[in-house]
Amino acid sequence: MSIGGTGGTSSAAALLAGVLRFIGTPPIGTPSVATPSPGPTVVALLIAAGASAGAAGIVCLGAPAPARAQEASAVRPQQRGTAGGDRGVRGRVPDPAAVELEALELAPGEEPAVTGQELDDLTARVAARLRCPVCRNQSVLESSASLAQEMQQVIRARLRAGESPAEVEAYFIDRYGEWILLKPKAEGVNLLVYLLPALLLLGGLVGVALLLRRWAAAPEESGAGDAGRRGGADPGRAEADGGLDPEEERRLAEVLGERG
Amino acid sequence: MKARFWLPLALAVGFLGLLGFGLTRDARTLPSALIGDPAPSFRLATLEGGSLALEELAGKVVVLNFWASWCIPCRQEHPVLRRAERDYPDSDVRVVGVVYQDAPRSARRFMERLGGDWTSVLDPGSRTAIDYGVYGVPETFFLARDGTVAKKHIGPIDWEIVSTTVDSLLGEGARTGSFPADRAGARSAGGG
Repeated sequence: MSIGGTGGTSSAAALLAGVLRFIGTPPIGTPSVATPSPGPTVVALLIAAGASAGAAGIVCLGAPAPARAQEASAVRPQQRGTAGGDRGVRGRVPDPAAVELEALELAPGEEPAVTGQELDDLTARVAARLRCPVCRNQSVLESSASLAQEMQQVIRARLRAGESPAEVEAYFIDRYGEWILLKPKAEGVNLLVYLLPALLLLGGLVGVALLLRRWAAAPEESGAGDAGRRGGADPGRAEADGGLDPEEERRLAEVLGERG
Repeated sequence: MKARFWLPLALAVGFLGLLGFGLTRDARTLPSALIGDPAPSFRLATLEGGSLALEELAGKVVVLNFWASWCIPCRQEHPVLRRAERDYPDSDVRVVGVVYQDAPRSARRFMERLGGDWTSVLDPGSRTAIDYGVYGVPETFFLARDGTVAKKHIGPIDWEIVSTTVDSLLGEGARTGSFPADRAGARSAGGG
């Protein structure tokens, strides 16, 4: 029996052990249950897959903690990106021309909607939800690519001019497409991404429960089943299995009689 | 017994088929969200020191090429852009470059060395690049006469793409009989 050795998550193994104890099946590894069905291994793998998919879904799709992301961008100096964009002249500090453009977003005499620390926080929050188009497994906040830095400037300028975070996100979605969001919108086909891991896990658990119920019935059958199978294959040996042939019967009776 | 054998097999084959289909898709080239929308306007300084606004090119087919001097594929596609500039009259088709994350001096040197008479504009802060949903170079946008984005090509372009796209875009606005209708692919390439 190979369930213990499939490398499933420890939680799945513990779950299995608990259920087995509960229904009173013999411990795994007992040679009496000789049914070579591949089912249990497959189901265990399914549980492991569902559990790890669920765990992965939670980890990858969960909102990246702004604190962690900010720490990353504060500590890491602006590196040369592989996209080649960092080989341009500007790269270390925000381009002065860009800062000028930022001021141009507002109409003359108009007050910025958000300023100071609040603006920084809001910019970081929006940037953490957008995907860097160059380093696509990083958020715009985390990425050190030039384009990400410039996108942050754009976010900042638009927030300052009074746009809401949703409007800023909509601006990027209009231009880059929905993949610019790190977390896909939970609608339509995207719902599969959110629901499938949980459904797989549930399906695996249900499958295991059904199979275990079948195993619980198996031990009573297996003895008779083995005998029946072997009996069916060779009628002549039926006696030899359930009983002994006459010669051995006599010897057994002698031995028992001697022992008293 | 039969279902137990065929069902997992069918599921496995189905799943493998899905994975195989995934292998045929190129994750690096993402579809543009701008197709069919009006092209974002801009007014930017040119390499020569003047300025260019997109509105000045209204009514013309525009080949908008985002490039940089440090970009090797941009060098590879440069002859194609030169041919586009040469083969189509300026009154109908204009090639416009947008310099992406580059120093003006390097960009000017690139154009001097490789030739070409079309205007390239500088894009400080990549505001225009972001406006167009650009994430790398080279990327080329084909704008129809009415100013909408007809096609976006990611990576170096070749003459086949340029000629079929521009021909079909010219054909859309042209008066009847001006352009040959039987040029291969002319009808189908419009809109990407």
